[in-house]
Amino acid sequence: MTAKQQFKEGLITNNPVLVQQIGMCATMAITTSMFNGIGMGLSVLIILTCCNVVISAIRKIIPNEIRLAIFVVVIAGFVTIVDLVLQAYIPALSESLGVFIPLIVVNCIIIGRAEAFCQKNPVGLAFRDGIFQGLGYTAVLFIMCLIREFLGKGSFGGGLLNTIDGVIGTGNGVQIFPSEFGASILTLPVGGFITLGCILAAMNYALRKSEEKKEARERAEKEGK
Amino acid sequence: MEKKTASPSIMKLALVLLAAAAVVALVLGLVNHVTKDRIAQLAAEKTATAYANVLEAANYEELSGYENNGTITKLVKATDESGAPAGYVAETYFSGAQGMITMVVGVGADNSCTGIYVTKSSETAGLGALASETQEGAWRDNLNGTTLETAKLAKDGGSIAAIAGATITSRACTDEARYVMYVTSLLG
Repeated sequence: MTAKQQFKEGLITNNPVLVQQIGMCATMAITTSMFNGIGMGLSVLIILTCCNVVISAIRKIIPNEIRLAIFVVVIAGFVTIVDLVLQAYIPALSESLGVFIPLIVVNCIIIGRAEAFCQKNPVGLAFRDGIFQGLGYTAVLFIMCLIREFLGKGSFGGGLLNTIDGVIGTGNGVQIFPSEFGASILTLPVGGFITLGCILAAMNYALRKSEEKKEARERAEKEGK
Repeated sequence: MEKKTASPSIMKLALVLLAAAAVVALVLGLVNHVTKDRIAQLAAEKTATAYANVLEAANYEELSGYENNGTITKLVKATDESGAPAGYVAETYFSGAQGMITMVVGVGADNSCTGIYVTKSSETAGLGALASETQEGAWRDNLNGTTLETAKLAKDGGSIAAIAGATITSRACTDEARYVMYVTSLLG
């Protein structure tokens, strides 16, 4: 599997949230500000890559019967490391993400990739898989934040742009239109469900259309021969 | 009954799991050792900021032997440079909607609330977390100047409007501020 194939899979054709439909809990809860969304995406990317590498490295010596238990131990270890490092060096992110960082332990994406991919693939492929799946996840979070912030509050870049005293993590971003005109339901958890549902539908449609185009092209080639 | 392949004994499985857990525990212990001082320092800085934010004073002197229902973790008496009493500051730890909230409450010399400052909470972002906001015009400003009688939510008979969709958090913070004022009123 080439890097380019893995990149396309991670971001589009096998996107963890939009195609595999795992790890959706945090996407709906976190995406109320750009800072939270990107921070969470990068945290998951780092943890996913580290776990992928370690699990792939020890895949031959883990007895099959206890592999899930060992996966969870490894994942919990890395999540705790990231949690402690964030608390000590990026407290703003640690506070905004709050309880969702420890929840990464049970994020289906990490244990899903460990089970489906890292068990059967060498470290190099597992490393790339972690990075690309993590990027796919972060891309979805970014798009959700974009939609929910813009349509819900009329702002963009909450916590990253237009910060209070230049401190990253504060402030509500650039206000594009007054927040009274936004559909504030989108900033509530129910808005997260609705937004994710719409994005899932759009992705499904786009993938099906590209599938149909590919089939039509292959049929035309066969008839042309 | 045929055996497919020799599966490892329970002992071996247990030992492998123990080894994996031990390695992870070791690494975590190391990371904890490296980060714990910085984390403690950040927590102390945040509390100091909270103190100055709710009640600026020259000296803070810790008290003991006061009435406590268990939510007040530290009560200090604030005095200005000349030693005149300026009020009290209380560090509290109580139950919110999604877990425990750590909050600093300032009480002035006239036993009115000078402000609250939530230093740690796990409330829902956009709802209960709004109680932790500290900018101009944040919800917590509603409690400034309230007294033992007025520090109640509007739905409980007072004058404080709850955060929309976050009644439990609003009530918890307001009631805790009122409890602190009750305790300080007993101290005279």
